[in-house]
Amino acid sequence: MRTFKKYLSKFSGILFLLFLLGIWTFISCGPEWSSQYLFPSPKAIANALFDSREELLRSAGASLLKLVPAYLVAAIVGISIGILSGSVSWISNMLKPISRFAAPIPPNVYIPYAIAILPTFYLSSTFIIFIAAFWPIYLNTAAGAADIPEKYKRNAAIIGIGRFEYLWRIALVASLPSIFSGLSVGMGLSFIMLTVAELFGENTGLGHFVQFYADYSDYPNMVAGILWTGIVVLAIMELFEFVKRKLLFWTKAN
Amino acid sequence: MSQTQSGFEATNLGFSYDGKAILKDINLKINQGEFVCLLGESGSGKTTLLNLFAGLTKPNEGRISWNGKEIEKPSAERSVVFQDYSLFPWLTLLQNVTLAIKKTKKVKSGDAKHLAEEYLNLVGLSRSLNKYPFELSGGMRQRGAIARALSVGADALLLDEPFGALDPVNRASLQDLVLELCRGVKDRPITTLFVTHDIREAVYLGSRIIVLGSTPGRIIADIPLNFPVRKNRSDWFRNEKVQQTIVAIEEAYHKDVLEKLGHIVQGGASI
Repeated sequence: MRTFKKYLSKFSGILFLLFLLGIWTFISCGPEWSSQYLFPSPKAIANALFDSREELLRSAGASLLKLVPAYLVAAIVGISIGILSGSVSWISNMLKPISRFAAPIPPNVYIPYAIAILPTFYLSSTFIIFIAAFWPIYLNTAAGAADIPEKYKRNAAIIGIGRFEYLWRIALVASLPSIFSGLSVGMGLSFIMLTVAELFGENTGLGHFVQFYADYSDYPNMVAGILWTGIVVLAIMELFEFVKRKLLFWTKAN
Repeated sequence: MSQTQSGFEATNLGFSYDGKAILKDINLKINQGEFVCLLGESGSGKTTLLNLFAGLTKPNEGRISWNGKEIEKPSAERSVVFQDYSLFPWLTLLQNVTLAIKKTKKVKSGDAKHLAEEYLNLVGLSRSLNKYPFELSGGMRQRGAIARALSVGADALLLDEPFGALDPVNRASLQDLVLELCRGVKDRPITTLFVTHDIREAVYLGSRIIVLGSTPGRIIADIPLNFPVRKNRSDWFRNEKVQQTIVAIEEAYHKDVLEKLGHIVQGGASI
C-alpha cells in the first residue's frame, strides 16, 4: 500500500498528463455537443505533426533566427550596461529616469511604429524581441551589480584588483545569480513577443505556422503547431537551465 | 617618539560615521615583528581600526602610517584575513591564491601557480588545491585565507576575528598555525594585528594586547606579554602568570563597562 502511494506520487505528473489526454480524446470523438472539427483527435494531431514535420522544423528555424540574434544582442548590451550602471554611480543616475519610464512600457505597443520605421519585417520583429528581453536583463543585472556584498569589494581591493578589472572579474561574476533571473524573464518575454510579431504579419516562424493553419481552419495542423512551439520552448529552457547550473555551481553554499 | 620608522603608527587617530564617533584619540605604535591582539567588545571599533590600518577606510582625524608612509589605500604589504569571506566562492583554492599572487607580484602564470601551491602546502591544504570554498569546512577556508594573505609577500598581517566562527578544535589548531607562521619566522618577522573578543585567544597568541573600550573606541589598556614558549596548550593555560594576565584584562574590561553603566545611570538621574 505504502509503495503504491509512493509510486502514485512519483508518477503523478505523467498520470495527470494521460488524464488530460483522455479528456481530450473523449471530447474529440465522443459526445454530441463536441465537434470533431474543432477538437481533432490525438491521432489526427499526431498525423499532422508527422506530415508537417519539415515545415515545422523550418518554422522553428525561422523563429530561432529572429529570437537568437535579438536575444543575444539584448543580453550583451543589457549585461554590459547593467554592470556599469550597478557599479558606477553617475551612470546609474544618468540611466535611472529613462529606465523607470521606458521599462514598464509593454513591448507590443512598439510593433506598429517598428513596422513603420524599420525597412523589413525581420528587423521589426527582432527589434521588438530585443526590447522585450533588454529591460529585464538590464534591470536585474544593474540591481545585482549594485548589491554586490561589501566583502567581495574589500577582497578585491586587498589583492589589488583595479577599477576596470573589478567590473568583469568581480562584478560580472558576483552578479551572475541576478543576471540569470533577468535572462530568464527576458527569455519568456521575448518568446511572447516573437510569436505575437509572427501572428501579426510575418510569413515565417512558429507563430505564422499556427496563424496560417487557423486561417484555413486546419485545426489538426494548428494544434500541432501549438504543441511543437511548446516543445521548442521547453528545449530552449532546458538548455538555459543547464548553462545556468554550470555557471552558478558556486552559489550552492551561499 | 621612537626613531625607527618601521611598523604601524597611529597619531591622534579618530574616525566617525554619520556624526557618531567610532574611534577617538588613538595613539598607537606597533613595531615590526610584534604580534598585537586587539581586544574589545562589539562596537568598540576594533574592526574599524583594523580597516584603517588595512587602508580600506580613511580616517577623519589624525594620521596613520606604515613604515613611515601614510596609509592611503590597501596594499599587498598589509594583507587581510576576514572572518569568513577572504576567498572568492567561484574560484578554487588554488585559483584564489594564484589570482592574488598574479595581481600583487609581477610573476608568470606558471610561477604564480607554483608559489600558490607552496603556500597552500604550508597551511596543510595540499590535498584540497582544486576544491571550491563551498566544498571546504570553515577551518579549511581560513587556512586558505591565511595562505592567500601570506602568499602575496605581506610584511603585515591583519586578521579580523578570523577564527570567530570555528569550533574549538579547529580554532586551536589554527591558532597554533598562525603562531608558527607569524611568530616563528625569524628571518622575516611579520607584524600582526589580530582582532578578537576572546581574551584567552588574545593572551595565547599575542606578544602584546591592546584593549579598546567602547563608545567611542579608545585604548584602555596596553599590555606587553612575555610568556614562556607554548609547548602544551593546557599546561600553558594553567601557568599562574597567564591566569593573572587573563584576570587583569577581564578587570580592565569590566571596569570600562561599569564606568559606562555608571555614567548612564548618573545621566539618567540628573534629568
